[in-house]
Amino acid sequence: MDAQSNLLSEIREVNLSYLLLAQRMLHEDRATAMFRLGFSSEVADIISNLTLAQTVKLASSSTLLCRFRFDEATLLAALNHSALGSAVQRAHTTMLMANQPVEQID
Amino acid sequence: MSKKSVVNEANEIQLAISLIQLGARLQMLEAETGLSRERLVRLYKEIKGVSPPKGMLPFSADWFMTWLPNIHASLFYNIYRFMVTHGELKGAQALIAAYRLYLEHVNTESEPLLSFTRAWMLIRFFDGGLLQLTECTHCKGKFVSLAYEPQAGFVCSICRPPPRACKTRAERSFAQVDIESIGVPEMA
Repeated sequence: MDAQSNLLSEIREVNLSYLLLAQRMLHEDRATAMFRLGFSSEVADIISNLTLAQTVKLASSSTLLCRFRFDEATLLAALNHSALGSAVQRAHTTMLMANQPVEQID
Repeated sequence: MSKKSVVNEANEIQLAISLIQLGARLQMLEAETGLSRERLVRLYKEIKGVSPPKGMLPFSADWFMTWLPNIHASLFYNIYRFMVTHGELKGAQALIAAYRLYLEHVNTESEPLLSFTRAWMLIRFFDGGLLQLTECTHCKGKFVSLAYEPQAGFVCSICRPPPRACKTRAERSFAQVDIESIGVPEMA
């Protein structure tokens, strides 16, 4: 198998596991999952109502479906090795994440 | 008087059980559920095995201002705000969901610094207009502060920790001990 198709199949794998994980999280505890995933309620509805066939179809795209969620401030907080230790740092990152705009459909 | 509904009552008992398991005090249970005091006491004894603690609730809004409690309170309140604005949860349900997420950030062996009752008081202080969120000019994070405090030029206690930070044992247990437990090398 050449490198290019290998890469594409890896992207599809990531997409599929992302969608399946998101669905499982949303079914277990919708609000907590929305917090962890950064979804708005519309996106959460769409993702959790996808049929298996739709999920597979959506996952077989050649681009990644999940987005990088760090903006500048959050990224700095996550990378900043402060003297206070990693627990404070993680708390800081979560706090900034909670304030970020959620993924939504305009 | 509305007619008593068995389903409603079952839901309220379920809610009270979740609240007690997270560490709610009796006053809080009375405010959040419609159950009678006697039933709540019985429920409390059954779940915790001891009588509910007596005495006043922690009533100080200033407690949230010292640096480590402020970080915990800000973390919790930011999660709670997400639950209310995006998560479509209300009242006690939002509180429970946010508090469970907050607990992921604290050392499991020790008592969480922000107790469940304090978290509930925090929300009441915000609703009552005693506290506000102030944006840090460095990290753009929103932090708990007293109402009507000047907002310009505010820098949070993570971006500019107080010089004595992490010097007491309790503070160290939150901030540093878990570095060793995960095995991340400490920065010089």
